[in-house]
Amino acid sequence: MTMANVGFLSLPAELICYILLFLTPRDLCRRAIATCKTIRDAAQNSVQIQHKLELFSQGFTETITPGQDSIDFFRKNNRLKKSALMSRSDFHVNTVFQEAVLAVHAATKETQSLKCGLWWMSRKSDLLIQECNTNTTQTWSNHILSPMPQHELATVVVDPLQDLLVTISSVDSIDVLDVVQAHHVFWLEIRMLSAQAPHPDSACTSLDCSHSFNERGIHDVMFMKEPAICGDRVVVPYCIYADDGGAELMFIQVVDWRRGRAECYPVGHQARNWPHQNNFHLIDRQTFVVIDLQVSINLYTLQEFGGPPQCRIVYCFPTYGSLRHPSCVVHTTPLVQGTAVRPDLMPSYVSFLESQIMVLEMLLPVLPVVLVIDMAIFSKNALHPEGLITIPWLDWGPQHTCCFPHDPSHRISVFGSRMAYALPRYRTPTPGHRLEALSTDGRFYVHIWDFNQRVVARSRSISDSNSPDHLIRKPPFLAHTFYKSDFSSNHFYTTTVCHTSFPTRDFEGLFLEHDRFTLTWVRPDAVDIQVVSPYAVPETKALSCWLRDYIKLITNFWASMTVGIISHS
Amino acid sequence: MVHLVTSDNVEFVVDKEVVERSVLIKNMLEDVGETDQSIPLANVSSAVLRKVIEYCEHHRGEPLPSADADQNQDETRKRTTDISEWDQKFITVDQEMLFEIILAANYLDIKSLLDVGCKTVANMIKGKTPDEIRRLFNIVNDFTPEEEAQIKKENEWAEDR
Repeated sequence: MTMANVGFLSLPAELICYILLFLTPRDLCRRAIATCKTIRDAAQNSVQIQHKLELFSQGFTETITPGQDSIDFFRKNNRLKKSALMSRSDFHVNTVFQEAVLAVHAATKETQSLKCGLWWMSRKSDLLIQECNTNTTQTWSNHILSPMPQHELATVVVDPLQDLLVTISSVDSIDVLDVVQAHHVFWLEIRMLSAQAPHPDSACTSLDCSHSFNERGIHDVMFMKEPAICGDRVVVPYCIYADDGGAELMFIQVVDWRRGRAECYPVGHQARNWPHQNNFHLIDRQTFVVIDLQVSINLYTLQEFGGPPQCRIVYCFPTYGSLRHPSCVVHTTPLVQGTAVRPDLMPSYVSFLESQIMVLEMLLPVLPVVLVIDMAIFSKNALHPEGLITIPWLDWGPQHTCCFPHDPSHRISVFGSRMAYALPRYRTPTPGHRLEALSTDGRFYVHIWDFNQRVVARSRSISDSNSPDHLIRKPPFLAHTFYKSDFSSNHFYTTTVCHTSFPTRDFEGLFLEHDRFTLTWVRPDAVDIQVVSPYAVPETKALSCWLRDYIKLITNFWASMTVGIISHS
Repeated sequence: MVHLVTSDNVEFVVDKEVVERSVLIKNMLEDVGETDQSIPLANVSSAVLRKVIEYCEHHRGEPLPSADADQNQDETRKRTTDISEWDQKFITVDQEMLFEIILAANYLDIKSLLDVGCKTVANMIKGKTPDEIRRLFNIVNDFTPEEEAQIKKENEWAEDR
């Protein structure tokens, strides 16, 4: 064989990078980069490759957004680096948005949410919406949200990306006279969020959702939580219970809001002492979990229309040994799926399921705890082809969870593999240490705990040389009197804290998103919203490594033209 | 018909529709208009151009990727092994020819052919150790043992999952 005179290394650097971009991150940085200096330098000088590796290391995947020029890449990389700052060292913050939304009787019973920079609060008489990018405020009164007579607004859910607002209005109780016939149980209203008008993509504005009852008599409908939206699918979990004290059963309505179609399925799950005890959570279009702290987490798969959900995996909790019932709040990353009507709100990257965490705020009697669950256990790979499997606590808990003492006043928000945690102390609590509640008139600090194992591994490999500041923590060993087994874990996590403290008075909401977090304070006459983002302090030794990358990025900014452009020069 | 002359002075007469899969030539023809003059391709040898024309002939009439096709670039990128059967057979050539085709596709601006070539190389690299990659492409290891250890340490995080 004759020696080739045109070979891999004779390709221009741009083409070498073009080839490297087809590789998986693992092949790229464990294998290809380690072969020789030419390949390593080409990869280190490519903005696209660095961007791809940064996304991967933080557990993100890119969404396809139009107009990917170099400036766009630069902007995205910049946000990504900022986001990485949150898990690498203690950080300072800049306020990127601040607004006091005037609202009469703001401090009535309310629920708050935030998705893609859009914040909303559902109150007794209306819905308040604030867009934190463009600073526009909207108010919807409840009689617009729930126009049907004899119905009352039960829940509201918003999807800013699809410009969609979905509400549920139900009747008090249903008198079932005929078990053969399906009875109307609630109305699902579909609106366009930006215009308070019918949604142009929806076949109807009001959808009649009905239910077939098994027995005669008066029945009540209780909604387990707000409906979950995933693309064109809306899933509404609810429970039906008979007034005569019969079995409480759980159901879901699966709705295609574009085509105006709804179907009701029983979830073979008995809801005891509902509604405090069971939690429903939609993982993606086809998967949801039902959480019962006394027993297990049940993973169900959902088919296309025509079949009931199937229970596939039961993840058992340790045996619960108390007669007092625990309740639970679930925190996860909001779902970003479906066609975006508002591409301007579409994030440039989303986290993939395998690197996400689900945080259960377990409000157990006496000693509340948080349980951080690695969501890889809910991925398709975990499913067993032969149907239902039951996994005892010791076979999944220690590998896939971390447990910490908690207080209900400590706010939690989850994004990807990170948890933002509002705590009364600046110092990171020693694992297993129980902190006091937030005082009503003091200050609090936002801590960021990252459970992404790649972030932990990377922090570890640079820790000795560059960054003495950041902390890798061993998980605590936690025993709880009400559970028969201990909560112990083999998972490591990194901790960091924001230097700025915030007032606890009227503090209500904490929301983590990409490279920023949003805080809200609900005062009697207004809601204060503040969005903050970390910034780099150059003199901090911990940041020198990051800064070096940043300067390199700017230097290579103009060298990052696509292969196509090079061919013309 | 379009006349092309290669670096080794061989003239090819090709259908306009076929040769216009090259964005470079397409733009050139649009600028010059109808002409009988031959187009010199100083960077492409006759052996390589023969292969390139074979590719263009086969894919004649298929829609050209438009400028905004870049949006979907990442989507197709994820499926590295996604090369059609004909393309796979077509690109089964020796290494020198493979890299020549990649260079020519880049120069002539034929994005689909560039992708076929680059994906093939990426597939060759996939799953191999640094040493195996060096042997495959005749690359000399120019790292010191210290540098090698450093790279290994810096990239340990990628091993997970």
